[in-house]
Amino acid sequence: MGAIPDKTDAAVVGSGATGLAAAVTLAEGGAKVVVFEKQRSLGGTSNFFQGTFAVESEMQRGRYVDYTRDQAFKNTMDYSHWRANPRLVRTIINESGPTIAWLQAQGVVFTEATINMPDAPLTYHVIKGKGEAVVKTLVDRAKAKGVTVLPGTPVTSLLKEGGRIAGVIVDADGEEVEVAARVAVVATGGFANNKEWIKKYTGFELGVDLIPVGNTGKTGDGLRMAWEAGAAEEGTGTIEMFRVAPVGDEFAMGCNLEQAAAQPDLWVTARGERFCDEAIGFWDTPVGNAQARYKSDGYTFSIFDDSIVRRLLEHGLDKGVGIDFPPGYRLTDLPREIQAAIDNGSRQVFAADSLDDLAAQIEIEPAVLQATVEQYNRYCAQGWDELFAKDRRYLCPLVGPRFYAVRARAVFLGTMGGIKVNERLEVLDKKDNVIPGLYAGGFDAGGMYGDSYPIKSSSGLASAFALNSGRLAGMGALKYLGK
Amino acid sequence: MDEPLAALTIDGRDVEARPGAGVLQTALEAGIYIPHLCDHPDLPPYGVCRLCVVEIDGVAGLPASCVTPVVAGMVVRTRSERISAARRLAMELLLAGHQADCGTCQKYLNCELQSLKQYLGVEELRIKRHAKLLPLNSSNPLFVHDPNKCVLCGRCVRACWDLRGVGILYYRKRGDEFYIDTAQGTSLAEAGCRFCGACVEVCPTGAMQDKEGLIKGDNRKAGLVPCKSTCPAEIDVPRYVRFIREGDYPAATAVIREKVPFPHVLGYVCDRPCEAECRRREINEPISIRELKRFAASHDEGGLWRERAAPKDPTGKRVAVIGSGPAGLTAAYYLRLQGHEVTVFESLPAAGGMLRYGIPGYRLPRAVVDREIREIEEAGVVIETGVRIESLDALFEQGHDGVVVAVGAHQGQKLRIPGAGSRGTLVSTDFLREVNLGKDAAVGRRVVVLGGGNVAFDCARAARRLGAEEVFVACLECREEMPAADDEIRQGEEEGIIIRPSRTSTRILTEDGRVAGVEFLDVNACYFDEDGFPQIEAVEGSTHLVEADTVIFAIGQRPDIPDGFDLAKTDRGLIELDPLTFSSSREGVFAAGDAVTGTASVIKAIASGRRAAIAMDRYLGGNGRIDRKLAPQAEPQGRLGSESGFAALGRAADTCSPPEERVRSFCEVVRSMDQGAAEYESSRCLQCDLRLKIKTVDFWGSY
Repeated sequence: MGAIPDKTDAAVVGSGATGLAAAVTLAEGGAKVVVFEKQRSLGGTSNFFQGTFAVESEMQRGRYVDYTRDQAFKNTMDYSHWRANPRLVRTIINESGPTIAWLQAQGVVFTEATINMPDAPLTYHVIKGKGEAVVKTLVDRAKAKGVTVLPGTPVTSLLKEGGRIAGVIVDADGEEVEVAARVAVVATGGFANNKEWIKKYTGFELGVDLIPVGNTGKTGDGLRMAWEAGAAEEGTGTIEMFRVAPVGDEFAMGCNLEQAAAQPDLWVTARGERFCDEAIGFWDTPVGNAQARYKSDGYTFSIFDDSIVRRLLEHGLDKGVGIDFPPGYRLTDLPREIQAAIDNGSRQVFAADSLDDLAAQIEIEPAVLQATVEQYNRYCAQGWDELFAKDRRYLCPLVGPRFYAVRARAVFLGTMGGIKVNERLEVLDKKDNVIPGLYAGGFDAGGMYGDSYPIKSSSGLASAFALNSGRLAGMGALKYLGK
Repeated sequence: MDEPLAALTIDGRDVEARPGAGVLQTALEAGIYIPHLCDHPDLPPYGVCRLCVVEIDGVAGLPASCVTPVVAGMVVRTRSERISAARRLAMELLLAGHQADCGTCQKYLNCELQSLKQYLGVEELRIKRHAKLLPLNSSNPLFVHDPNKCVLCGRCVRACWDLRGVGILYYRKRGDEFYIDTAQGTSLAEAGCRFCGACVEVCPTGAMQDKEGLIKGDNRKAGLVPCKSTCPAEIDVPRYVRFIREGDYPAATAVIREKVPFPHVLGYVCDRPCEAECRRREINEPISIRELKRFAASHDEGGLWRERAAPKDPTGKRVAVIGSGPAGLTAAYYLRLQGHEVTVFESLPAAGGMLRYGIPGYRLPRAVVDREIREIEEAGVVIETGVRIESLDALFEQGHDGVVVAVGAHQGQKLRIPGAGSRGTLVSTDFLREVNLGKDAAVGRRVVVLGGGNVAFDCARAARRLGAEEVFVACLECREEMPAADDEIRQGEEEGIIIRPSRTSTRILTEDGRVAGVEFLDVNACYFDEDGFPQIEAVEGSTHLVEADTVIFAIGQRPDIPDGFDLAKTDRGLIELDPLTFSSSREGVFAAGDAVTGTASVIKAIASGRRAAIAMDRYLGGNGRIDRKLAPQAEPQGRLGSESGFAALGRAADTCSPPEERVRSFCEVVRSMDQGAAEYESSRCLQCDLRLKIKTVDFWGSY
């Protein structure tokens, strides 16, 4: 097991995509690097991503995907209404193609340049073995180049001397240890598990009306230590949100029930009324926002019936869930999963032989639910959703004999900002001056987005920002170190 | 006799090992990583997961390295295409029966299965997962069991049987699905569980977990032993409770003394924050930790702790401590042990601060205070009583190299209401000081105490003992939110104290300049606003009167810090300290106790004294390490054995002398537990610290 060294050139705080990309880049340039990870396992949330955004990559070129860097830049800036930092966005987008090549050179294998939603450019570079493979590959490369990787070793604060970074303080099993370093790269993955900050910056009650997915122990360490070192704040309230049903320890991620409840059939609020064009469910941010309007209830419901179950068994999905379950995927386990949830007394999944009974179980006024379904079925019959103008392809009536309801919640994949950086990923103080030696990237850094995540024009951007910001921070830090 | 080591090669490296040791452990100890799941360093090897397979020259197939003993001359290879393929297949089989719920699983990033999946590069798309859809069991206290995440590695079963000797977990079957449960599917309590948590600790997945929110704070190890981590002085509670159970009371006292010089005092008056966090509270009732401490400290025959408590060689440095309360004396004691020359200055006639002049004798016998202060003096601390210090400069001029200010918060306050200055009104601190000095503190027949904290009850119960016939305690807080300790309130009521919660006093009524009663308004709610100011919502028209001839204000105390100290103060009038160095605004001056924190508890004052001693010692050139190992370093017995009815064992009740008897004197109220009760109560401890002895498996990233 690695001992903690007294000094190094660069201290990388966090072993996700950002930290590892920075560490390997720094090591390639001849710097001595230590990666500190507070968890026992490496990679954090980066283990989850299945693909990453890039434009003008060799893979895209080979597939006649002609979405350009200029288009991606314009779309990203338009989406944020120019709230995003344009130089940062431009740099990340321009670097995204070369980053795919760099990852391939490290040993990461990409299988496809594609997309998992309609009407979106093919920016999603699918990874063989998903984020876990990126983490494993980059850790192996880093170690081969002499990087020290220390799991279970949290950094607690940054040290400065004469305004410059001078090192980090590490919690070594309860003992404070100083490690001298001229460069610190802060990449701790945001603050998705910090109840107090989530309330303060987003207004949500964590675990009540907003559920974190793929985030563990994200208490905002990086933001705190950078702010304590004088960093300015940017982008703190942006989160990557969507809608999932059912949520709970008893349901596996991507289980058949979750996929059924994600289909663009009938969705209602806790009062039994429709609240959106269910087809926005193809894109995370819109459906997340629509769901979040019902914060005070904390949940909505997806309602379906036997005819819809049959459709999902015979014709498969309309809306794919992740890359693993594309449209057409058949939900063969769905009846068994519904039955098990009912047998286990779940409060997330409900079944009934009548709408009235279903309404009673989910505590909705039966007349309201009846009226909603009648109106919805009428729209289905006439082929026009008078209320929310949903595409007629997704208008399937609910006729029974059995009806189902699944409770849905707003979930999010991470916080997307906090530390103000420039396009070189140098951390800025409150007067916009660079704090020499301090870099930040990934979920810890702000400026890549406006108030929400531009899923439709740039799928895979969060992981791409992590990888590219890490690489760019590494390149900048090498120059700073004179290497 | 040590056996000669056997030489073998692993991946071409020469390695030595004890013959008979497992190949897996040998490789891991040599820093060569072999993936493994069912094996655990504290459990007998099992060989079922097939992840640790290797190639060995002359051995057919791919043996599991965990169950293969080392033989001299062995040639082992841990990596090859064949090995990788076998490991990936084994991993796919494990994952096929494991619910993929990493995204919301609390175990994520501490999960061995996830780390192994990452290491082996298993492509999940290839796996046809089989959902077990078994119910999640959260009906037991402390632990949650999710059989859908179980990979049947058997670690929990081996921990329960082989490590702990409890033996209540079994492999069971429902339909086609195997899972782990108690023999009859009963609750853990009914099965005779000891709630040691070993099964949770060794579980490599999220199948057995601690209930969410039970492990508080960032530091998991601290969170697992909350009695110790909650204690302001971090007294190692499970360790001394264990010594008590074993009948070794001097060793138990020595454990307590590793952190505090007042074990017996704390045994009487500690506000025991540890008991509020005791994990046994989740099962039935917390361990009676304070009473066990009192029992141990009063049975410290021989004083084992003294053997290792001699002061270090003299450093030639001199420290002055101002104030001889628990904070000051704690700082003085530890600084003395670090080799400094320490003089404590006390303005009152005897040492002890609030231990002597605040807390009444029926709660804390004076002999106990005297004895523990004498120990501090015997260590070489000089206490000068009857000396009030007005200037720190004078102390430095006398040749002191540093000063610890621990003057406490002795200045009581009166409410600013009409009549507060009339005859018959008293202030808590003055009143208690008079009582404790043995002076003739006169109270009338009907006494109203204003305030709802422990000091209010000290005043009220003292007043009863001085002959008051009717004593009221009136406070702003509602009954449930009164700050006084539950046992104080209960014992006070037994003694006839009448509690009037949720009311605010608006004036003191007088007759001829003497107190005649108190006028109150009922209170709907009281709270602190965003700026920290108290807000009171009174009920209109609820004015009423309580007749009284004596009113005692017990509404909080302030420190009296002479201007001559020239120290920066907070807006609450407390001494301001640097949060990192614990230094005051003057070089060489540190501070501790109520003068820094505001009125707090004895244990907080002691903890604060410890911090001041550490900071001062560092300032004087020492290393600040004031902790000493005073008690024997015995390894605890990890085999608990099963015990039916263990979960139901109720807390030993305190025994008090009868109320009508105790209000006639200042004799102690709560009787010490006897040996049988101490044995019983200590045997209820869950021994949460045993879990920390279980080795942690390092993931691949650590190699």
